[in-house]
Amino acid sequence: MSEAERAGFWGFLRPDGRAGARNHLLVVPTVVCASVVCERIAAVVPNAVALPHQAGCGQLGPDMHTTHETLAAYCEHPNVGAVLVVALGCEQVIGQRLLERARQAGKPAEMLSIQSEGGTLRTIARGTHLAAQFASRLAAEPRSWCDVSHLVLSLKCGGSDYTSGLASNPVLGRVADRLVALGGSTVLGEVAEIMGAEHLLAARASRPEAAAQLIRIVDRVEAEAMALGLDIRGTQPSPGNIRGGLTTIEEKSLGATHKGGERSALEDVVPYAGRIERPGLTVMDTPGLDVESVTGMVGGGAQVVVFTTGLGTPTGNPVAPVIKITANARTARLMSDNLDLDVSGVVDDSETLDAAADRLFAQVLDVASGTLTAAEVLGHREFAIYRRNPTI
Amino acid sequence: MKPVLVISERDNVATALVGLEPGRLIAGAGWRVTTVEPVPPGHKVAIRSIASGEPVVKYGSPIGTATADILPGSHVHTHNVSSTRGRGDLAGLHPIGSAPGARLAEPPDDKVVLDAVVNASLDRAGDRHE
Repeated sequence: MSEAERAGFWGFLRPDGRAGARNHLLVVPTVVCASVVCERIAAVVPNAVALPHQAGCGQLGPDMHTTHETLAAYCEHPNVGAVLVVALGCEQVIGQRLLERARQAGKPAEMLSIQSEGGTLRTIARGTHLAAQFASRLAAEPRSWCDVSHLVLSLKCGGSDYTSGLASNPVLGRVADRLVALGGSTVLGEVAEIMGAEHLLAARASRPEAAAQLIRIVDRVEAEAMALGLDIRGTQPSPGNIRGGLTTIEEKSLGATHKGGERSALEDVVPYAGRIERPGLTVMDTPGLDVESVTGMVGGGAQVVVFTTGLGTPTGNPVAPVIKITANARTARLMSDNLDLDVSGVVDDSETLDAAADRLFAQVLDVASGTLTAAEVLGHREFAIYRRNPTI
Repeated sequence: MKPVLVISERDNVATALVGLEPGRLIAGAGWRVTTVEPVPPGHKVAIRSIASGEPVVKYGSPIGTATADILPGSHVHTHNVSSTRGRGDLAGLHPIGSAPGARLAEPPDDKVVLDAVVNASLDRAGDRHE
């Protein structure tokens, strides 16, 4: 049996053709004003996750669009089995549209508005009833065997040190190449951390348009830093990166882009939280901030995130499992609570890159099939929508 | 564990995998230097002379420009290397797209970067000088 015939995971096949690694009930506020109500509903229903956020009103055109599309992308997400939208009633994000997007993706979905229900307590009471009904339905749904080509893997690094570029990112890169060779998809974000390595990714583009789009978004991020008259070195690399031995953004980027593999062609460049539609490697236009970046890539359809770290970091996501991997032996000891895989053997020569990649690939499929990650066990569900402009 | 790692043969710096004391002899394929100052683990040490204004090269690509003459065996970090990207504080000096190696105009040396870690694991010469 070839690897392609064997590789797969136990997932939830969705009416839109995608496959989920989880079967969450998503309780989504249209606006910050509905966030607490959503958290309280989700707190009492098993397998329900809230999507508390700070946006949804007082936002200008492009930011409003990003907020709406990000929330809609989560309503459609393959790791989500059912959706409860909670609106306030007077905000900019239109709850009805989120409800429609969830239903169009084939998900059972309902909506409540706090102003129509008559306040916090009545909305929580009715919302909890609806959520409990959804949850018992979801609990009865079985997983089925899904070909690995359904998988969209988000490639992320954060709290990087010298071990990231030397070991954990190349291990992830090998897994990324293997997944793409089997027909799957990978997504790389954090445009600021491509700066200095864009020539290498652009040279791997399957289409000239993808190369040109990549260069355009890197130029835009650089121009934004330049326009402020600031030195990007204040934040890139971060103070922790610099203590860890990373000197410049170019050095950080060259190490970071190893996550995207060595062989996978760059197939596409998509906007923040935009749907990843082409098999192969996609670059998403996200900021470098970990939570905003993971939020966007999961919105694009990634069912699983692999997050490499040198210094250690707890970041999770409400709907997608985040697998943490480090090649820093000290971090592996100190932050074992937060970490799923230790590949420090690659640095001290006790494990080869290929052997570490085999372990990671197996773990990705296990997690896609339901194994919980450290971030899930600890309840890390960070969520933050990228915004560029002031609140008005 | 080897004391240092050189990723590409084009590199003029090595990464210390352990803390290096001054006076330590380290060597690899085609280079051999004695450290002249402490280098913390994870930080870089020059394996060739790098004149002020020359590119500092790691992963086979420029990671910045030397801001002082750097002697072989010296610690290489923010005190003697400057990024050329996103430098709004130096607007005009490094126009966008002008960074060395930043564009398609420079043919990418895939082999160097793609084989980074393969090369790294081959670059074991340092061990023999322990």
